[in-house]
Amino acid sequence: MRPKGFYIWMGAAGSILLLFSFVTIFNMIFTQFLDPMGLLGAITDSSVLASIWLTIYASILATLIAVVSGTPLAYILARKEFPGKRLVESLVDLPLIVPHTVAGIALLMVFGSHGLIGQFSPVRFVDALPGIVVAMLFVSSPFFINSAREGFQSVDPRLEWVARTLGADPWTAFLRVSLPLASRHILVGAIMSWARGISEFGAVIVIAYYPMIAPTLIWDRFLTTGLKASAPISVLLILICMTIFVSLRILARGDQS
Amino acid sequence: MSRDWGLGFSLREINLDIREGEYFVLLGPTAAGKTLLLEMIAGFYAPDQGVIWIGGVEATRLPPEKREVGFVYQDYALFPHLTAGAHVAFGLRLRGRPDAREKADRLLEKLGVTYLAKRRIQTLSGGEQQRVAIARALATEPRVLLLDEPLSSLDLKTQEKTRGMLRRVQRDLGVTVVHVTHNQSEAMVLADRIGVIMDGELIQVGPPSEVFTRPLTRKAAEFLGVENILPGRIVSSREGIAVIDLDGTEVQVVTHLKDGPVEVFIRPEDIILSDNPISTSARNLLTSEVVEVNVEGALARVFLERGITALITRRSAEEMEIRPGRRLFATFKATAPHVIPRDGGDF
Repeated sequence: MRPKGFYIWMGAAGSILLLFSFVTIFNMIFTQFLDPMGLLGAITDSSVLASIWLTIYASILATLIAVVSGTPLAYILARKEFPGKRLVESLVDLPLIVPHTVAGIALLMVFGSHGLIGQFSPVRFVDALPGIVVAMLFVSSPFFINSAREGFQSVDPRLEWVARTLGADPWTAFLRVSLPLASRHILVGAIMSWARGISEFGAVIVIAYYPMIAPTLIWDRFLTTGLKASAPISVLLILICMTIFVSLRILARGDQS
Repeated sequence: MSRDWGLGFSLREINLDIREGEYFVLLGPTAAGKTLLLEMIAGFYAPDQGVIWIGGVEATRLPPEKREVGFVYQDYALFPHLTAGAHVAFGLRLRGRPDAREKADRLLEKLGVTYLAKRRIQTLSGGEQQRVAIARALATEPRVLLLDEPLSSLDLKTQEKTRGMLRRVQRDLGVTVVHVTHNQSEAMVLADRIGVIMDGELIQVGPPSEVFTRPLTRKAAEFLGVENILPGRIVSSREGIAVIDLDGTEVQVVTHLKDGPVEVFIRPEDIILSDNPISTSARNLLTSEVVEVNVEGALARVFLERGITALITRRSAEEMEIRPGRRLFATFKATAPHVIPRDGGDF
């Protein structure tokens, strides 16, 4: 008797949150479907398509950097105890709590024309693709690192030890045993990090208002033309990202079985 | 060699010489340090002090991949992403052997599990997984095969079959085996020699017959199933037979010890119980009162006063009507006990 009522109550409470997200997103999509011409206008607008492509592309670059540098970091965090480990872990999570405008300003002070690195760098970050990528990388890296670390933690270190007795050096043991076994976590982490990069706005506009990524373009249209101009672009962005996100998640699941 | 793990655990001054081609069993209770010792031989941990030699090579600082050892964990530590065949071929492929696949197949055949080659390990039974783990370890022809409680996750019937398989494989391949277990009968059946390890200390090394009948310390005796550990003092000694005062009763025991306080170990199955003093060749007779009788299947364990325990058949216990309060005679031969010197004179 108790479990039934128990789960009904838990479900009822939980559905509030679910409805909240669902209504917010799908209300916008359905409303837009009542105005297909507006959506068509967005699809045929080359500056809209360019901004969406730029968003996706920049976030892929940021994710690639996160994977290349974050995988070894995640491995070390999963396997080794060292003094200051707690500090490193906090540093990894720090971007999660820094307000995004603050992140943008901090990035500007490093990568800006007079910034710590920017003043020596031959690569321009301000109002350029590299600026967008570093902003996305900053906010999305915790998602990748934490997921990859969980992946490595789920691999019994003794599997590597046994591989070592079979003749594998530490690199081979990592590549043949730990990496494949953590691959699903790494893939999911990369997807999450990519999705987080796409959704970034605050940090990006501080360092690179131009070229406009989709969230910036939507903001710009909203301020200059109003809701009617910005809603179709938002819906288009949501539809494209949802399609990619869902397909990748399915891919990641399929990879496991 | 030694290693301190912190947290109150360390391996202390382990001095052990395992002979080439022998089946060596490390026997000890849970948390004695057996697995850690095995992992140090494999090179997963380095000793704080001391050296490890493997086959004439100083291996103390060699990484595991250079030590030519095979390792089988209690839970087998198989690779979840590989088939059984790929497990066995794993080490051969790393060595660039073009015949990796065929050699792996031959090994699986030797262990009687050819049909497993293409199966993923999640679909294997415990016994099958264990064979795959052993085949994987043997594939690279290691000098030493390290087995960590290889039988304890198997059911009793599979255990018996596997014991035979382990001995056969070891003889056929001539590989040196170091087998860790807490199971005494396993050690007795398999071992050429046994090393008893307790609390991080190697207490005794010898063939099974010696280790089980002549434990070197009181703790080892307790662990090895010597239930009668009686404090006494040698009163006199002649021609290798000592008269020992056991709390007021004098007994005669074969021992090379000449005097001083001693501990007398007697296995419970070496004690004969009777209603009347019997006249036999056995030279020792103690009277005592029954405290408790525990029936264990076909056997009965009889606890007497003065800390004496005897193991007899349940039928004898029933026919003699042994129950708490009865006075009985406990008899044992002069050759039955093993005597060690006792620290300090008081008991």
